[in-house]
Formats: sequence, C-alpha cells, structure tokens
Amino acid sequence: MTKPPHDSVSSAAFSGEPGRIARFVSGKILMAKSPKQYLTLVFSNPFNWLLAVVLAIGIPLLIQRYATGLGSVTHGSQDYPWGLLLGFGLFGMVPLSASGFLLSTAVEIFGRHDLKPIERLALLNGLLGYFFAVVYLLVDLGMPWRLTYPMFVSFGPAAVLFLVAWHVATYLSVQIGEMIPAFAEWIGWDRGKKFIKRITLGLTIAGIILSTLHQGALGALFCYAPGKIHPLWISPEFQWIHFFCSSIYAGLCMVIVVSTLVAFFLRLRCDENFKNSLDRITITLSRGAAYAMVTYLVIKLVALAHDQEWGYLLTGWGGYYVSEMVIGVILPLVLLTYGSRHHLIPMLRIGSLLAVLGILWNRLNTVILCYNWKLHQEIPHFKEVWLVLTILAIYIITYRFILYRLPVLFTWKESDRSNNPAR
Amino acid sequence: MKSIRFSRRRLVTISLAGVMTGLLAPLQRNARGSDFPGYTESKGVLVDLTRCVGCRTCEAACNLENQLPAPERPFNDMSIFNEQSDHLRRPDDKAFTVVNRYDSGSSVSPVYRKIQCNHCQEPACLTSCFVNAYTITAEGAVLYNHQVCVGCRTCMIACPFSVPAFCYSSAFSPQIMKCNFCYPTRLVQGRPPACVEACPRDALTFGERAELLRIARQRIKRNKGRYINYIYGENEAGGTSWLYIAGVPFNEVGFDEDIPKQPIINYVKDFLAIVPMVLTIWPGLFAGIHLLVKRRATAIDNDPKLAESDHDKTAA
Amino acid sequence: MNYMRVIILFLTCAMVNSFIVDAVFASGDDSIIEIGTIATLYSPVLFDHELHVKYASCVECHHHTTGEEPSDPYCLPCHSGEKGIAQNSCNECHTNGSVDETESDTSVVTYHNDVPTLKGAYHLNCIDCHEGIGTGPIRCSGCHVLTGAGEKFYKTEKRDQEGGESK
Repeated sequence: MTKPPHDSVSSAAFSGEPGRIARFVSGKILMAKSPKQYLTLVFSNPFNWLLAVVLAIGIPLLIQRYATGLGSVTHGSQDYPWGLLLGFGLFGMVPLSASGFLLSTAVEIFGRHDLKPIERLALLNGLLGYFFAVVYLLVDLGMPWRLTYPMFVSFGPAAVLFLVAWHVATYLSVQIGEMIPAFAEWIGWDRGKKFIKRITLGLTIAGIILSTLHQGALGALFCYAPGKIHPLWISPEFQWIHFFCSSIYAGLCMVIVVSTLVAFFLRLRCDENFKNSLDRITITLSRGAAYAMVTYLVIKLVALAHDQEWGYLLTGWGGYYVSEMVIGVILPLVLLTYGSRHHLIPMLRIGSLLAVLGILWNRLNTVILCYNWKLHQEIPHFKEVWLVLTILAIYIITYRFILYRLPVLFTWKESDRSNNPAR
Repeated sequence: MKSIRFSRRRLVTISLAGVMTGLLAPLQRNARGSDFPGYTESKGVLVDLTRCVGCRTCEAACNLENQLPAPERPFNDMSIFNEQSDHLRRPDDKAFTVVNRYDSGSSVSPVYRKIQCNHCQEPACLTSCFVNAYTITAEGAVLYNHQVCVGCRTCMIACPFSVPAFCYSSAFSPQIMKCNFCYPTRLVQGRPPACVEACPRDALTFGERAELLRIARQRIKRNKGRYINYIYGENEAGGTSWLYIAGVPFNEVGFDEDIPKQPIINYVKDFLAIVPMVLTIWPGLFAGIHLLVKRRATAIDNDPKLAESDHDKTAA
Repeated sequence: MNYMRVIILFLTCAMVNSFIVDAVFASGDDSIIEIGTIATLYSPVLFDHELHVKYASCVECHHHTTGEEPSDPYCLPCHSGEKGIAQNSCNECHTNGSVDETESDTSVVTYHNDVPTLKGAYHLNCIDCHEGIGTGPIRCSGCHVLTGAGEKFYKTEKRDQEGGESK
C-alpha cells in the first residue's frame, strides 16, 4: 500500500479549522450538496414522508415516556413486565443482528473470501441492530440512566442478565471496532484502519464468544420462568441453544433481506463487485441458513421429546406452535433449499423475509403471547406500538445514512478521496 | 511461513487469555450453593385458608405499616370481591398484599386467599437480579434495595408467584414494590409482621419455619377432613417462608400447582455451566480453525492444483 | 407523612393499654359481658352470655373447663369425666401472644400447643358457630362498632354514605 498523500485531509474533520469543518459537513454529511438541495432531495422521497409521520407522532410519545413514566405510554402491566419494546426491540433485534459475527467468522476465520463483498453490510447490520436493541432497552428500562450499574456500581454476577449486559456491551465495542475500517476510510484516518486490521482475528473470535454466550443468554433468561411460559416455547435445558441456533439463520436471512432492499433502493451506492456477486452470495448465505434451520428443527424436536410435550401438540396452543414452526421455519427452509438448488434468487429472498418474520414471531411468542399462558392475555397499548415504530424509523434512517456515506456497499478507492474529497 | 508462526504465537496468547477468563468465570457465580439447607432460625408465616373470612384487615394493617397510598375504596368494603371479573386482584405498586375470594367447587362457602411475597428460601428474584438489588436475611425476609435497581423488571419475570410490582407511573424513581416481611419495622425486633398481628382469626401464624411446618402437619392430622393433606410452600420453588394449608385443592383457589419443586435457579444452571466452557474452548477452537484454513490457503497459493482437486471434491 | 407516625404511635399505645382491660364482667348482670381486649379499631363488644347459652352447650366454647364431656375426640383421653376447673374464662388460657409464646407458656406442651390467641379464639369460635347454625353475625360490623381510629385504619374517612360493610 502506498503512503497516502492526504494526511492533511485525514485530520480535516478534527483540525477545527472552520473552512475544513464546513467542507467536511458539506462534503461528507450532505454528500456535496447544498443544505437546500439536500432537503429537497430528502422530501422528494415518499418513504421519507412516511418516516416523518412516524417520527412526528413518535417523538412526542418518547418525550411523554421520559417525562411521565412508562405507564403513560404502555399498559404498565404487572403481569406482563416485558412488553413489545423488549419483545421486539431486544429479543427480536438481537438475533437479526447475529449477521456481524457470522459473516466475520466466515470471512476471517473460515477464509470464505467469496463472502467478502457483503461482510461490511453484515457487520453494519450487526452493529446497528445491537445499538438499537440498546436504544429500545433504554426506552423500556425504568431508570435508563442507571444502565451502567451492573458494570460499575452493583454486581449480580450469578444472573443471566449480568452476562447479557456485559456481553452486549463488550460486543458492541467489538462491533464498533470491526466497523472502524469503513469509518476510517470515510474520514481518511489511516492509522485507525491499520490498527484494526492487526487485531481483526482477536476481534472476530471475541465476537464469536460473546455472540454465542449472549444469544444463548437471551434464551436462558426465560429459564427463570419455566412455569410461566407455555411448555412448547420453553425447555430449560435447550432454551439457550434454541435461541443461539435460530439466531444463526436469523442473522443470515436478515443480511439477505437487507441486501435485497439495498440492491433495489440504494443501487447507486453499490459498486460492480457488490452487484455482481450478490446473487452468488445470496445462494451461499441461503445454504448456510438452511443448514441452521434444519439443526434448529432437530433440536426443537429433541426438546419436545425430552420434555415429553407431545400431548400439548394436540391442544390449541399446539396448533399455534405448529403454525409457527411451519410458517416461520419449515416453509422458509423449503424455499431456501429449493431456491438455492435452482438458483431462484427471488424465492430465496421471500424465504429469508419469511424466516426473519418467523424469528420475530417466535420471540414475541416467547416474551408476550405464550408468557403467562394460564393468565389473561394483553394487547399492547397503541402508544407502545408507535414507540416501537418510532425507534425502528430512527434505525432505518441511521442505517440508510451510513449506507449512503461509508464504504459498505462499495470498496473505497484512494481516488475517491484525492480526486474528490467532497464525495 | 513466517505469518503462520506469528499466528501460532497469537493462538497461544488467545488461548491463554481464554483459559484465564475461564478460570475466573467460576468466581463469577458466587457461593450460593445448591445444598444450602436454609437458615435454621428462618422465620415464616403459616396461612390457614380455612380460617380466613376475607375481612381484609391484613390489607389495612399492611397499608398502614408500610405507609402505602390510600386505596380507592376502604379496606372494609367487601364489594370489591364481587368485581373480580376477568382477572383477580394481585399485589401491585400500591398494595403489598391483597385478599381474593374464590368460589371453589369443593366448598360450599367461598374461600379467601391472601397474596403477598412468599419469601422464597432461594428467591428467583434475587438470583435473576443483575445488580444484586435483592438480599435475603437470616430471618428469611427477601428485601429489595431501590438504590441500585435499574428497572429491568427481570425479577417480575422470574418470580414464580408473580409478586414484585413496578411503579410504572413514576418517571424518575420507578421501583419495585413488594412485601418486605415488615423486616425493617418489626422482624428485626423479632415481632410478627403487621398483617399477622392484625388478623382476627389467627389465619396467619408467625413463627420459625420449621415449627410452622410441624404445626401445619399437626392441624391437618388433628382435624380430620378439614384440610387437604398438602402444605403449599414447603417445597414450591425450593421452599418458601410463607406456608399455606387449605380445605380445598390449591388449584381451585388460585395457587399454581405447576410451580417447580426446586429453586428456579436450578433451571438456569445448565446455561451458566456452559459459560466458562465457551470462554475457554472457543478461542482455541476458532483460532485453530483459522490457522488450518490459512495454512491451506498458503499451500494453495504455492500449488494451485490443490485448489482444483478441492473444488472437484466439493462439487462431487 | 408525619401524621402517619402519630397514628401508628397512637395505635401501639392503645393496644398496649387495652391489654389491661380484659373481658370484664359487667357488675351485677352476669348475662352481658363486655369484651374489650384490644378495643382500638372497634368499640368493646357486648356479649350476651345468656342468649348464647340457649344456642350452645358450655363445651362448645369452654372446652373441658366447665365439667362437660369434651366434644373434640382429641381432648377426650385426658379430660373425659372431669369435674371442671375454676379457670374457665377465655383469657385464662388464650392470651394475646404469638404462637411461640403460647407454646412456652403452656405446661402441657405436648397437647396444648397451637393454641389460638384470645382474639383468634373469639373470632374462630364465634364466626364458625354462627356460620354453622346459620344465625348470628358473621361479618365485622355485626358485632363491632368502628371507632375513629378504626375508620382511619380502614381508610373509611373519605367515603360517603354507601358502601360500608356489605354482605
């Protein structure tokens, strides 16, 4: 690699010279457009109007939540302490964000360099997923300003949540580390990139460990309520492995879904390498996901047999369970297997979407629907639903913001910076 | 070759780091052993459902003792029992204890049941709390410390009796509310909780847990036909300080009979046990795989034929 | 919240004091007994002994102490054919202690254990019997008149006319 001639540019963002900061903002943030041009562009997209509506109602709700308490925006249910915010935001987002560790493992550990073009998208998906899971958590926690208490103030090391807290926090740092190269390229910070490159292997292995443990730990959290969740959705011996295993195909399918959206709506930001290899990568990822699904189905069956739960299958809950397995796992499995054999990319994409929704469904079932199955059911408050959508909208906006700017879907070329620093 | 040797050294370093973390991991799970038989002087309350007539005096006494907010309707208003529609009352952020009426199929007259924290001997709330907000005293009282609570509400998920309640209405100091066995005001001095003292019919009996178990057995034996031969709480969730005897099957009066007979923490131990294993085995395993893959890649670089034969193999 | 403390203090004092006034026989008239053991939340109860004699035999309240054959088979082996003893008012055996104290106070621990407190004994015996024979008050207000302290205790002060002791 040649010595970059632009070290002056690299420190531009930090140097504090007014001209340079302005250039950074207009060049990097506004992508070489005047603020007016930029806004016009933003509001020419009808999807942004939809996001704006969500935020217009959601932000006041968010303020209401912090000013007047959780009870003012949720049911404040004593029987369902974890509602939609955690059910979707934490338990749903985290498995969908397993993509980061899966792809970095495949590329860095298993040497699957054919997956390299999508590695950064998977890493970004992981980082943002985790970050926003924490955001959801901050909305739902009673005292969010005490988020770091388990790290610094008071320790409950025998608790599963203690592991989750530490692992998510550490893993978030690892993922930030893994995304630094893209960021460094963007702002022109070569030393950061080089440093991360040196510790990539360590970061990746740390990622595997932390992911295994906390994906599993999220499942193990429900082992605290063996009597409260319907037996078909809880089996204490296998819960962590169910959650871990399903997170594997969840992460892979999420990458397929996101890459599909990107290929359709952000085509300008994808370079030839990405576009040309996407079909091949989709097939590879689908195969991986299909293997994970088979494993998941098998251990689900093992749990059924181990806990002697066949009788429940004949009840109404059993029907619901079977429908979750068929629609959320078996159908996507068939689509992914058939699609990858016959190279039917649209089928793979539909199958992946179904699997992603299936995971969300499974997590919501575990947290809300099949929790307290002997008690009454509760329908989430509309404000809670809206809050979930609000955070989701912010997630989408952030995701898109980064994809437009950082070299995630395209490979950074030195010429990009030296010829046109205001790219 | 040089890079491989470099990686190998790294492998050793990583593995060592893993082993170290693994060795430290057992320290994480502190000394709450599974064989701890409980404190001998542990106190308890025996609730005799055949004696309770639903006067709600215990609710009033609890409210006064703990300086809880005034109820919507007075404590001697019994019409509250008629309005239990789809779900019965439960302890919440305004009441540490409530009494419910049950029209049991096995009894002509209604049966009343008092609900409050059962003060487990191995509390699930305590073991599930990641900031150690719960403690258990030698007397058996399970106490909550709002000063470190983050408000994650895992204890509410974990409690097999669904007792802890959260102040959802508070924006700045929402905390868990639950019965504290009147520990700070009474139990420390050896006095019974306010509800026990207030009960007009001795439906609540305070004493040492072991003694209460003996009394419960004796009542069941002495009054033939009056009681179901079962002491609820003797083994539920590993044993609770509050014990119940009743004249009707427990599931007819709102008790969950499916609650495990072992401490809830036992269901989590399987997972906790894999934590040190993952911490120790994964680094070596994956670093090893990485080394193998890298070695092959180097070999393939030197001899491209290898790659072709490999390709044939996978295609076959 | 200071007035709360005052109330608690008041209640505690009242309870301690009331132990002294115990089951006083109204002088001259044997039939009406004033029960005021812990008359704090409620005014003392006027118990018509003569009336109850018509409904129940002595043994149903006084166990073996009046010389009648005990009805509880558990008591029979020792107390069968006894002549009765001098101490036959409730508070001679039923005290206002907790279960531990009752136990240690009783000389014949083996059999006289798990003895209800005085308050418990009244309520257990009265209500169970009333329910059994289908007559006589079974809810609080049937025997008790709420005092000012009682109204505070049950939080009735804010209440308007309706409600109260239903059933």
